[in-house]
Amino acid sequence: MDGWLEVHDSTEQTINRLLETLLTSGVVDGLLVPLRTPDGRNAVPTLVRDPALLERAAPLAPVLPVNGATVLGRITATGAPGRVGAVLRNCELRTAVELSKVQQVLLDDVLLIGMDCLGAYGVEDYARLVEEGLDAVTPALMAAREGGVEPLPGYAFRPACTMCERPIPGVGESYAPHIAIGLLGVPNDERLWVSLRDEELGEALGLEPAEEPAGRIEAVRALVAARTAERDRRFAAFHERVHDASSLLAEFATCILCQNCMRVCPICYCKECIFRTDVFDHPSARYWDWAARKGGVRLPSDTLLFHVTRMLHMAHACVGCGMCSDACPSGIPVADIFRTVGRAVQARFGYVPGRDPAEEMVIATFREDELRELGER
Amino acid sequence: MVGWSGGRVVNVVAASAAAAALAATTLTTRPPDHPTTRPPDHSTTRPPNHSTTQPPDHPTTIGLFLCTCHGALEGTLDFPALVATGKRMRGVAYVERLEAACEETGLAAIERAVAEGDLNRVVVAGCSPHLYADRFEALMARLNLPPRLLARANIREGAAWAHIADPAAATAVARGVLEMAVAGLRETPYHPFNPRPQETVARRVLVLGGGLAGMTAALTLADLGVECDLVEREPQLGGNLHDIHHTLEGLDTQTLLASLVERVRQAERVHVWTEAELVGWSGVRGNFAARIRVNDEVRSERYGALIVATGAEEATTTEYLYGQHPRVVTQRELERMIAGGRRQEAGGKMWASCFLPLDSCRSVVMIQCVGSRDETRPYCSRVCCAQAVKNALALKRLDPTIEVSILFRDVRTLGTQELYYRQARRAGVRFLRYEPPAKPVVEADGDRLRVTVHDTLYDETVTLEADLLALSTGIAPREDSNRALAAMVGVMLDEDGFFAEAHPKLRPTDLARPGIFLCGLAYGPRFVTESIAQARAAALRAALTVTRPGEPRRDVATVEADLCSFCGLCVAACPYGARVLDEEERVARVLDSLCQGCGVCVAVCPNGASRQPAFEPVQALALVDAALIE
Amino acid sequence: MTDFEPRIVAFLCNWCTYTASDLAGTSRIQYPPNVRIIRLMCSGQLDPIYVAKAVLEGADGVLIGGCHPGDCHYQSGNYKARRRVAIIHQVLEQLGFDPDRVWLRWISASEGQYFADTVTEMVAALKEKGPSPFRRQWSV
Ligand SMILES: Cc1cc2nc3c(=O)[nH]c(=O)nc-3n(C[C@H](O)[C@H](O)[C@H](O)COP(=O)(O)OP(=O)(O)OC[C@H]3O[C@@H](n4cnc5c(N)ncnc54)[C@H](O)[C@@H]3O)c2cc1C
Ligand code: SF4
Ligand code: SF4
Ligand code: SF4
Ligand code: SF4
Ligand code: SF4
Repeated sequence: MDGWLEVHDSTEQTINRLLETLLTSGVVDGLLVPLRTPDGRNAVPTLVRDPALLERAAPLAPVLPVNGATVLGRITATGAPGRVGAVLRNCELRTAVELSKVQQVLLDDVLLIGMDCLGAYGVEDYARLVEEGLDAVTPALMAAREGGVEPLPGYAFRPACTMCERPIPGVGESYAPHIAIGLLGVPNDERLWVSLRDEELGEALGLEPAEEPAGRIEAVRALVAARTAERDRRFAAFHERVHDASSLLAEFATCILCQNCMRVCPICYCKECIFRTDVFDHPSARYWDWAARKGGVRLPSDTLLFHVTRMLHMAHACVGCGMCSDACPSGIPVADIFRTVGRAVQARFGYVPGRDPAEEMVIATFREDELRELGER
Repeated sequence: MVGWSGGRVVNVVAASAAAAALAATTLTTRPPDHPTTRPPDHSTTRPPNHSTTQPPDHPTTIGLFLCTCHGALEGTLDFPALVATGKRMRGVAYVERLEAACEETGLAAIERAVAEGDLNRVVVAGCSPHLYADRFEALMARLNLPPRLLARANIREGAAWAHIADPAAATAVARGVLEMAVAGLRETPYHPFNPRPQETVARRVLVLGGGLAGMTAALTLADLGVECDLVEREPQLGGNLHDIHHTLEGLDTQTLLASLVERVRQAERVHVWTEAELVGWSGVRGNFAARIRVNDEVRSERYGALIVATGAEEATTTEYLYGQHPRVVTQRELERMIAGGRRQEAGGKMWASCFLPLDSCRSVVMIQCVGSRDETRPYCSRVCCAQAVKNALALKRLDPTIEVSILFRDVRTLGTQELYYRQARRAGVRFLRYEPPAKPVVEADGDRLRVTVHDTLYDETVTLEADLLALSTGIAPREDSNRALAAMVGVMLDEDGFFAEAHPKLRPTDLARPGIFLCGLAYGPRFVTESIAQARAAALRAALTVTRPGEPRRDVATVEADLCSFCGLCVAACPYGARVLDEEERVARVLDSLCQGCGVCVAVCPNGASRQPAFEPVQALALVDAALIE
Repeated sequence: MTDFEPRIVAFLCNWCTYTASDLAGTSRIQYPPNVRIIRLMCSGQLDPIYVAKAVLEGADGVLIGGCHPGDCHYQSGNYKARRRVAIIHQVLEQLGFDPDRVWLRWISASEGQYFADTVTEMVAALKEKGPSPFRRQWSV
């Protein structure tokens, strides 16, 4: 069911009131939603049970300190005692879908709440922006009415956001959450465009059924087109930079093997990465063997093996959330690399991460009639 | 509301997720004993995440035995050079050239060298590992070494013969093969020989109770390759399911029942005994001894595990004129009448006990929590509210003009079922709430009934005229027989008379006694779907109990529990259904008897939580390294 | 590049291609001495990290041998291996590494000659390509 939700006071307050209704009416027993930290310089996913806390809810704050799906896993995977309503950005929603396929998130008792993503800043940038007394939300909403999604002057969105071609929940190859809140191409200071999976909820929320306005459809199309172009530009730039072994080594020359990219990557869901187990706990003599064979060995060892293995393990499911790039202390464009590689792997199997929880993970299954060109002379 | 169901109690969630995981497993019908018999492995499982470097008191001492194959390889391979290179390899403590490693003299020479040189790993370089495997395995057993500490270096088919025309090349390849064999062995963790006493586990499970839960458990066991006896004391299978005609969600339970009974009767591994009874029980997990009376004859049988699925029954009451007035019935009787009414509509015969034609009913009143949640039965029967709503909706479907009122204490329809409750509201079912001690008052009014209730929702006293009064009497444990059974098998009952769970959060299907598992109504009020889920979870645990501790086999895959993230990829990938997810412990498990040792689960597991003791990732990577030595 | 001898790391399924390599030896069918064989129980046992390791450590080629489609000793391991190889190819290609250095071949137990031919063919192809760019590379 699609329709309008009347805005009272401000857009954010309207959304917060909707959340409050869900919580107080017992539709959900808890909410996972970003709350402003007491100092205001960050907005962090919080499991809220007391509706009074929703006063601090900042569903529109353009910052992404952690991937919300990872924390959603924490509060659901081993059995939630109640239903949770999870407010997620679209990349987080994709992540939740992927993680549900590997039992790291249990979607059974989750009410997914998505909204148009108007871009996000890095944590540092966001804090600076707040310190400077800037309001990032109002101008973003204002621009969105006309279909624009732009960063504040002097600021830039996270690189992953600039190339995110699926920012709108339920649109294109995005999974439709139970509640999708539309801000783009609609008068979001007067009313919000809301899509629901369940009719019942519409009554409860006081939705006024309507056809999707043409302006919104056009704004979404234009945003997706612009993002897709930027994505392809970045893919091409990567290939420009990296085309053989030496340029590949150059790409990772500044890697300090801190493994931050793996730790923050939601798709690297392993309890402990293989690179942190006994398998890579080499006895000293082994380094000497390598040095003898190759003339020398870079230490710590296995830098490229780490990245390539990570690609082999998870690129098929890379959702393009960009947490990896955000976390890299050396400024390596990890997300650009993984998205480029991931895209190729995904295309080979027609797999779209985050599209549908029922879609089977690429690596665990097979089809007899596929890939016939492989294995034959 | 697609994709999410409401808040269920935790232990039900756990069990149903295990069942879902189990259902996702591809279950094969391949017999557990595959023709490829392998000699026993005496290695112990190694703790996760420990370093593979040698403990100081167990230095790697590899014995390298180069076989000339009765001199046949000497024409191609430069043995003196190979001996010399072998001696230089790290970890190699001893090198010997043999005429025929596979013959008595050769085997004896190896045995002597290992004993004298205190060697703990053996490389036999010679023919293909496909030959004489049994002899070398037997040798390792005599040496008190686990078979995986033996490596076969194929320098005959793989080097001497493949490059017979170029002795220098052949020798180089042979050297490479030796490097790899030694490198792989060097990485194989050493474990002191620790012969495990051979446990003899009875690979058979007893399922007590042939209701929905018992039948589901039996079929799941059969799918997992485990033999079971299904013991039912009544002449027919099915239990309470006979009286449930559909569930709130519209599941057709009678079709389910018929198909279950048929599948149980046909399943080769399920042996059904009706009008049978457990009369004796002793022993421990893996090795229980049971006596079962069937037709005045007592059979004895050994079991590895027991599943208790003895169910419960509808409670009776003397309240509200039940048994005194013909128009006062229980919900179950009403359900039967509705089903009978349908049958009559369809031209069939009336249900035998359907003494009251439904079409004379214009007004139906239902009272909830009769006898439940009071002093005698303080627990909520859970299914009653759903059953009432279900029957109310069914009445409305038969004839929308029938007036239906439900007098409830609070509607406990759980989770998604709340939706049906709202649907009932919309269909015009009236809900009135009473609060004890002010219970509804029922009086006979000739052929009809008069029900007076104080509705606390509107704070008014309402009098309803009823043609029919249906009482939700709830579920009561089969207390006497439960008590006898509990005493016999040595488990506890809870204060309500149901079987007590071991630990409500961690192991919702285990009884306090190892090897005894529980499912269905025996455990407390459960919906049909919950009983199914629990039965599957119990069957999984029972199957693990009877398959795990058998003779350890070298090729069987294992799981490093500390590393396993419960992702289920290995479960999806295993072609034999030998992998299952254990929801309680959140790890993948291997059903040893089904595992064929293909290693697919190892390759699919990203971080090496899934392993094969004979081919661990460190070994594989060491082999790659060695393969690149120039 | 006449004196360049490529080094191939081969991962062979125990039941098919490894047996074929044995057969080649028993029949004295000669093939170039450039291959080092790692025996797997099943091609489906091939962990992609093994291939990544071989490639980055400087193997000039990687050969993966399994049973023909439909003939897997373990029902479907080869189909899973095929998917894995497709992923490996995509990843290597995107990173600017020639995916055609990683070969997958279905070679049954009786195809000793085909095994030898495959190695011969692969050695020739790799000689054409030259040494792996990761050969003796210390900074990977
Ligand atoms: C009154 C009532 C109403 C219900 N309404 C609903 C509903 O509306 N919706 C819903 O989803 N679920 C409902 N249920 C629950 C549902 O019936 C059960 O979840 C399901 O049938 C599982 O039952 P079971 O196999 O555990 O036990 P049972 O059906 O009780 O089966 C147990 C079997 O074990 C046998 N047995 C008992 N003791 C022994 C012994 N010592 N030795 C050998 N055999 C023995 C019994 O004869 C019986 O055949 C209701 C249950 C009751 C009692
Ligand atoms: S790189 Fe692989 S092993 Fe490491 S965390 Fe990611 S998926 Fe797991
Ligand atoms: S690789 Fe980077 S962009 Fe891709 S899912 Fe992981 S963190 Fe997100
Ligand atoms: S976060 Fe950056 S520096 Fe750290 S391992 Fe990843 S790429 Fe290397
Ligand atoms: S694939 Fe590995 S991590 Fe996943 S469930 Fe299996 S053993 Fe555990
Ligand atoms: S080795 Fe793994 S995948 Fe193969 S049968 Fe055993 S459990 Fe299944």
